[in-house]
Order: sequence, then C-alpha cells, then structure tokens
Amino acid sequence: MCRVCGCDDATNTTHEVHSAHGHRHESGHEHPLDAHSHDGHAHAHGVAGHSHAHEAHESAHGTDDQPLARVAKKPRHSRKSGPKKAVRATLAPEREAPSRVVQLERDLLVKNDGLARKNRDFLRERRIAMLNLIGSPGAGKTALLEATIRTLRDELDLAVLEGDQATELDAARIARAGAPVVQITTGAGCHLDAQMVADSIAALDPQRGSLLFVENVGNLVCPALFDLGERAKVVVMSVTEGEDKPLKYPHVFRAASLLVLTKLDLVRHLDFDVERCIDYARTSNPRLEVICLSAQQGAGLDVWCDWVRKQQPDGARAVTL
Amino acid sequence: MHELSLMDDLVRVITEEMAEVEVHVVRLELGESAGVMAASLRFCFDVCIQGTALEGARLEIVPTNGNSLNLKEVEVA
Repeated sequence: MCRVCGCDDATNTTHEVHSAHGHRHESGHEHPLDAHSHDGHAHAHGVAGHSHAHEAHESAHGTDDQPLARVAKKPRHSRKSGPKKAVRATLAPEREAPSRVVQLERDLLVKNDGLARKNRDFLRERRIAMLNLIGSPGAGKTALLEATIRTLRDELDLAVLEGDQATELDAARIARAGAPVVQITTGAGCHLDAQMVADSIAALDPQRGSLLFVENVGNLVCPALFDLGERAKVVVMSVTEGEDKPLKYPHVFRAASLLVLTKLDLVRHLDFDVERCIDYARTSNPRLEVICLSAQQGAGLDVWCDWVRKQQPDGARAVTL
Repeated sequence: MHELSLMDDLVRVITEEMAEVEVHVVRLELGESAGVMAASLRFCFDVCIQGTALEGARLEIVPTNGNSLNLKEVEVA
C-alpha cells in the first residue's frame, strides 16, 4: 500500500512523488493542488511533464513513453477503483504548510441537555411535574393517558404534549378525554427534543401545579437519549411486544424510572412470562419500578394513578370553601 | 435516526466557527454508552456536509469510554 496516499496499489510502494502534487481519492481525502481524477482512482499532476519516479510504480502505470493506458497523455494507475476505506495520510504534502489542528471541545449532546435544563427550571418554578412516556408504536401510551385523564381530571390539572410523526389523531383523543393538549408533529423526526418541548410548553401554557404528560414519538430507541427536562421517564410496553424487549432495547429501560406493562388483559392469550420480562428489564436497571395494568379493563390503574399523584405533590387542587 | 439531528448540529457548529477556513478533518470522540452509532454518524456526516463549506472533509471517530459525544478538534488548511 502506498504509505503516503494509502491507496492499495499492488506494487506496495510509496508514491513519494504524490507529495509534490495534488492527489485525490474517492474516499474523500485529498492532497491539495490541482488534482484530477480518472477511473475512480484519482491521480493528480500539478506539474507538466511529471513522471513517476520509481520503477515499481511505473510498472503499474506504464511510463510516459510507453503507457499502459493514457488519458490526455497522462499516466494512470492500472487499478480501476480507488480505495474504499478512509486512508490515514498527512493531508498536506510535506512541502506544504502542515495542517493546523483547531481544538473545539464541544459536547454534542450538551445542546439538548442545556435546553432540557432550562425546561426543568421553568417547570420547577411553576411547580409543574412533567412525565415523559416512551414506548413503541401501539404500546398503549395514548390509551393509558386517556384512562389516566378520565380518572384524575377532577383531582389534578392535567395537560398533554402529543408527539407523532404525522396527524393530530392522538391530540383529538386526548382532548375528548378532557385535557388540554398540543400535538407536535415531527415529520421525519424519530424523537422529541428539548427545544420542541420548550416551544410546545409555551403554546400549551399549562397551569401552575399541573401534571404535564409528554407522549413521545412511538419508538423504543431514540427517545431514550434525549432529556426533555422531565421529572421521570416512563417506558410503556405492552405484553404483546414479547418479554425479550428489555434485553433487545436496554437503553430506554436504563433511562426510565418506571416500566408500565400494558394490555395485561391479553396476557392469558399469549406466551408471555411477566416475571421474566421484569427480570430482563431489571438487568439493565435494578431500581426500575414496575406497574402492570390494563388501561381498557382498569386492572392496575389505581396503582398507576397513585404513582402519578406522588410525582406531583403540589398538584392537589386547593379547595375553596 | 437521532444521529442525523446530532450531525446537523455538528455541521452547523463547525461551519459557524470555522467560516473562513477550509476544514479537512473533523475529529469526534464517541463514548461506548452514548447511544450513538458510529456507522450512522458517518452516514449522516456525508449527507449533512453536502452543499456546505465542509464538503470534502473527512470524519474521524475516536472511541472512548463513557456516554458522551464530543467534537474534539478539526484539521484545517
């Protein structure tokens, strides 16, 4: 392999001459100056009358006098394709000014985390508790919220941010259940981020002391990574998804405080071992709390509602006498 | 998928900070528990630099421990 440019020329030589002129590869690395390319393996000639300086290389290219192939009277590599792997090479030729390294030191996850902190401060100031519900499409997140709203709406101020790629179907369901709601449609987006949530909180303007649910985009993967400023992440998983999901998608179970196992009424039709599923989830997160329920039949909803109440100690409505 | 939005931010940061120079190499540190895929980052890099001042630049990803994704440095002309 050429030690300068990294191309895997079979002649196993160093194309030292490359350092005197431009050289470009498909891989995207290039030696500056007036590079040209041909046949995928690009090879540049900054100086008229350039020739390859060593025999082994010439044997692959042909010489200027007797080329194996010529394009506009310039020698070429006999290989048909350039290297696919990125090559390690000094970007600037030796006689050029060396590359300058600029330290930037930025945490790319920090941008979202900084916005999430702002959300958290904003919510704390207004004594609003935000819960981030994460789960696969069809896990039963919206059904759980509908049942929760119907149970708690006379007791707590509730509000919902609904995240989906498209439609306002879920917002309509939440509104029918009796809570103020803003739908966030992400288009191609696979998760909600702290900025989207900040914008939507401003639009929703939840009551001081309210309980704010965020229903994330249906996805067991990406939402786990993005802090929204919530008090807790709740992973919602249905028994129909299969008990191995906590093993297959461990990040979200690690990030969550609570697992809600839904559609419990269906478990008798399934080969689903609830205890094993919980064990799997706790291999990622030993402190994970678990509530099993059926939003449709009502079993376990009281346990869930108790948990929800505890997240909002300031939420009980003042009774005016 | 989230790699796309992370990379979009990265490209914006670099093109803003390095507006006057030609960037050849972008070097990231990626923690093993960051929940971010190196292969997906590379794919998204190629997509996100199209039509920007970074077009033609190369992405290097240095694996590290921990759960952060850091833009370490860039090599410029």
